[in-house]
Amino acid sequence: MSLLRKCWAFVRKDFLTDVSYRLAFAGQLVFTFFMVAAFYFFARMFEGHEIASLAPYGGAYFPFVLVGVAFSSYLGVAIRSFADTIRNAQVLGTLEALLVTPTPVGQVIVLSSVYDFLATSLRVVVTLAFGVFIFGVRFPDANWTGALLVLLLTIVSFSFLGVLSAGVVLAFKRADPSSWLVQGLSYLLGGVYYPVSVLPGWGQTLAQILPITHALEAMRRLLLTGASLAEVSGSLLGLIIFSAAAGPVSLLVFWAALRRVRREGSLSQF
Amino acid sequence: MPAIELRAVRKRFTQPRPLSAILRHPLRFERIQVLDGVDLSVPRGSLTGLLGPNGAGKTTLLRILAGSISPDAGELSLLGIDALRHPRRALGKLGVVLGDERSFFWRLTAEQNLQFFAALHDLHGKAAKQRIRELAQRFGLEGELGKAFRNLSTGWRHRLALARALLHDPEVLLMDEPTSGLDPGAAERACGFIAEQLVAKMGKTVLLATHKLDEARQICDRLALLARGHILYQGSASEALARTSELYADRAEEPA
Ligand SMILES: Nc1ncnc2c1ncn2[C@@H]1O[C@H](COP(=O)(O)OP(=O)(O)O)[C@@H](O)[C@H]1O
Ligand SMILES: [Mg+2]
Repeated sequence: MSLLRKCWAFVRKDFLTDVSYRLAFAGQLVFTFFMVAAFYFFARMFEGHEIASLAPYGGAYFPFVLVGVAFSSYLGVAIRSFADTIRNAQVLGTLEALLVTPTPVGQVIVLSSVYDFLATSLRVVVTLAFGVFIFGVRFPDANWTGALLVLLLTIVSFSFLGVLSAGVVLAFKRADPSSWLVQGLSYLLGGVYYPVSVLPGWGQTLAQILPITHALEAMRRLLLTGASLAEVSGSLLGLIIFSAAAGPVSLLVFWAALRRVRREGSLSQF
Repeated sequence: MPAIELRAVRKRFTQPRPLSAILRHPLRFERIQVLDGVDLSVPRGSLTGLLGPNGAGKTTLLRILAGSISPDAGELSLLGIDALRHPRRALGKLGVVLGDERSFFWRLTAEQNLQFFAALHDLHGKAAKQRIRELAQRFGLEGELGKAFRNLSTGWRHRLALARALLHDPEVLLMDEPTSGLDPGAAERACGFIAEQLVAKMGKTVLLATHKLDEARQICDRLALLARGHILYQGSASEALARTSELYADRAEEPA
C-alpha cells in the first residue's frame, strides 16, 4: 500500500516535470504512425508470396513485424531507464537528497523508472492500435492472458540488463557503452524485423542468449497463431533462465557499485 | 544519551586522478586521511557548531552521519541507534540539509517538491498536506509554495531545503554551511531562525558545519573544533572560541 502510494508520487513527479510531455507525445504519435505505415508498404512487397520462414507466425510479414517493433521498444527503455535515472539525479543533484530518506535505494531507482515504462506501454498500445484500426491487422485467436504473462516476464528480464547498466553508470559516472552493444545485438539477432531462422547457425545460437529472442518468439506465437502457454514453454524457459542468471549478477554488480560509491564519497558527484 | 555520538571515526579518500596520470603511474595513489579518529558527542537539544577551515572534513563527517559516505572505521550512534547497522532507521530520525540548492526538481513548484519528498518518508495525502501547510506557516513560505522551484530566490531555496528536512519531524538536524550563498542580512536572519525556531521553539538538536567564526559565535551554544583529522576541542562555545587559533595552526605556510 505504502509502496503503491510512493509509486504514485514518483509517477506524478515525473509527469509534472515532463511539461513538454503532451507535445513530445503528439510528435511520437505521428512518428509511430509513419513507421507503422512504412512497414505496411514494406510488407506489401511480399504479398502473394509464401514465405517459409514466416509460416510459424501465421505467414504474413506485416503482423510479424508489427509485434516485433511494438514489443522491442521495452528493451530500450528497460536498458536505459534505470541508468538515466541515476545519471540525471547525479547531474541535477537530487540523488543524495533522495537517498537520505528511509526509502531504500533499490526502491528509489525502480520507482523512478515506472513513468518511463508506462509511457512505453502507451506507445506499444498505440503502435498495435494503428496496425489494427488503420492497416487492418487482426488478432482473431490471440491468447491475451498468455501475452500478458510473457510481457511481465519480458519486462523483468530486460530490466536486469538495465540494472547492470545502472551499476556501471553509478560507479563510473559515464554513460554505459555496453548497453548499446546489447541493444544493437538484440536488433541484429533477436528477430525484431526478420525471423531468427534466417540467420546463420552461429547467429541463431547467439540469439538464444538474448532475452528479446524468446520474448518476441513467445509473443508472436501467442498473438498471431493463438498458441497456448504450453506451446511456447521453450521461450518461457529461455526468459526464466536468462532472468535467473542475469538477475543475481546484475543486482550484485549494482550493490558493489553502490558500496564503491559510498566508500569513495562520490554519490553526488558527476 | 547524546543525540549524536561518533567514536574513533576514520575516513581516507583516494584522490581522483586524470587518466593520463593513472596510465603513467598506475599504483601511485594519492590518499588523504580526512578524519583520523574523530570522537564527537552532541547533547540533545543543543545547537552545536562544527567549526573548521575549508577542507577540514566537515562535510565528510556530516555525510558519514547521513549514510552517503561509509567510514573506514569507527562507530556512529544516533539517539542510541547504531547508524552503521541500521542506516534507514537512523535516517528516519535525521533531517539533512546538505546545502546543495540544486537538489530539488526545478520544474515542480515548491509544494510539489515537498509533497514528493514527503512520500519518500511515507507521508501521503492529507497528512502530508497538513504537515506541509504547518511548515510553510512556520517558515513564512506560504507565498512561495505555488512558485516553481527554479523561480525561487536563493534565500527561499535555503528555507525550502530546511522545510524538506523537517517533513518527517526528525529530532536531529544536520546542516552544512547553512548560510552559504546568502547575503549578510539573509545569513543573519537564517541564523536567527535556526537558533530561535528550530532549537529554542521546536526543541531540535542541530549539528551545524561552518567555517565562519562569526556565525558560530552568534548562535551556537556548543562548538567542536575540527582540524587535521581530529576534534581539537569540544565543549562550551565561549571556551572553544578562545582556542580557535589552533584551527589555523598549519596555515602559516599557505599562500594568503
Ligand atoms: N569524494 C571525495 N574524494 C576524494 N577526496 C575528497 C572527497 N570528498 C572530499 N574530499 C577531500 O577531503 C577533504 C575534506 O573535504 P570536506 O569534507 O568537503 O571539507 P569541508 O567540508 O570541511 O570543507 C578535502 O581535502 C577534499 O578535497
Ligand atoms: Mg564543506
